[in-house]
Amino acid sequence: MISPFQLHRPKTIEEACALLAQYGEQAKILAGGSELILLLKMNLAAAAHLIDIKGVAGMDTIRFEPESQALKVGGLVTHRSLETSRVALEHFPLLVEMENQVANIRVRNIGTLGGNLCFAEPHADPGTLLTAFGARIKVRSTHGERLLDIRDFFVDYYQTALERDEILTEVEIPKLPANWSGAYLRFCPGERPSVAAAILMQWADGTCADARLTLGCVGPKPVRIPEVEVALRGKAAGEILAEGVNIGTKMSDACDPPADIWGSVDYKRQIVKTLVSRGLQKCVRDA
Amino acid sequence: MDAVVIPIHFRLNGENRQAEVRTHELLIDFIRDRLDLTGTKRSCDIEICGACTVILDGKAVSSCSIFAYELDGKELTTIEGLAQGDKLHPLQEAFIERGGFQCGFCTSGMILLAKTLLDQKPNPTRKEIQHYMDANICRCTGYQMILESIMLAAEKMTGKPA
Repeated sequence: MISPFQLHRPKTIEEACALLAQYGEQAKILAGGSELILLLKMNLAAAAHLIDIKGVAGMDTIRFEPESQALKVGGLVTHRSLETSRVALEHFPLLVEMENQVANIRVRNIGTLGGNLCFAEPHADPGTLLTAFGARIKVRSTHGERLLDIRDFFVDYYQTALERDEILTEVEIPKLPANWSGAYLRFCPGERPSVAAAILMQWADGTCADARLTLGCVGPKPVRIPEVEVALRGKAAGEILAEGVNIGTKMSDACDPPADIWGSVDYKRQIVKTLVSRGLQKCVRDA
Repeated sequence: MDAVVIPIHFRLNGENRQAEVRTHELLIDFIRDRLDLTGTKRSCDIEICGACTVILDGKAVSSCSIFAYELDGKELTTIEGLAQGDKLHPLQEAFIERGGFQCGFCTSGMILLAKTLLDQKPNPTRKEIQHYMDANICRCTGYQMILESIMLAAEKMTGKPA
């Protein structure tokens, strides 16, 4: 049973920030609500003041900015809007493919990308792929704006770098240079992924020029595995295919997943290995 | 804190309505206890199973995890709003003809979810139906006949086999 609260429905971001600054820890921000309302129902969160920002103008747009070559996703954009966005599909087909897999259609209709990131649940899809993309998170308070690298935005299980008075306003996803291919793969026995891998590779004359290898759900936040990324540079596509399982093993050795309800350590390592080798195959195929 | 009450105006199954809701009141409670429309079912209560699916401004949503105040200014369709008088919606007819339900608890949600699919895509492929409908759970596991029912409904509504 949810406790009664005072409802605030700001129309501008300035108003929303002012309310959050005023009520501090007594307040919660509601974007889509697909995570927050569950917590309120289970009494894992409480709010004397609920600041519903759904009506805040200008935060539900998806646009590609040619000058910065980045996709700008407003803090209130739902998973479904991204999944069906032509702009997103044109510049980031892999993002659309990932969004199409988030939870279920009812959650995607309501849940926002911004809310999903702020909840910082490690068993979520967007964080892993956005970590590989090197997304930046724009946050705002009455004191001004900050732009955070997603790797600094995620801090720990259910913890972000958001200060108490800050609101996520936009997610910026920089476009990759030419000749990249990518894969987002996950093992998902229910609504949330148990293990996920995002692999992006840049190609030059049939060899790997650069790689970004990210594992999700194997710890408090998504992790890049730089030592394996470096090892891939300069390798020919055929070589990468032949060594796929080996590279997968290196990735699984480099991560440190906890044993929990999602599986034992060995089980998760096995899944990492499989996802990575399949992801490499897809990257080579699409190169 | 005392409950805070706010007025809302909305459309319910095609009719204009108004009500006062408590800010912390959930949509499912408002529908079942205040509107007395008990075709909307509560089951998992965490947005997974889809038994509580309703259509809000054309979109399928879980009424268990939305506040009732969010109805304000919107159009709500529940299972009770699908038939036109005695004439069932083609999806309802198809579920009867193909045996698309067993215990019936998931049926309201299944039919409403399927309606949002056919409204967007009148002739979906079997695979598209499967991907979209994997949102909702039938605990009797009668998925095969649910799929068949939706394919039949698509056929009835478009005149073309799905």
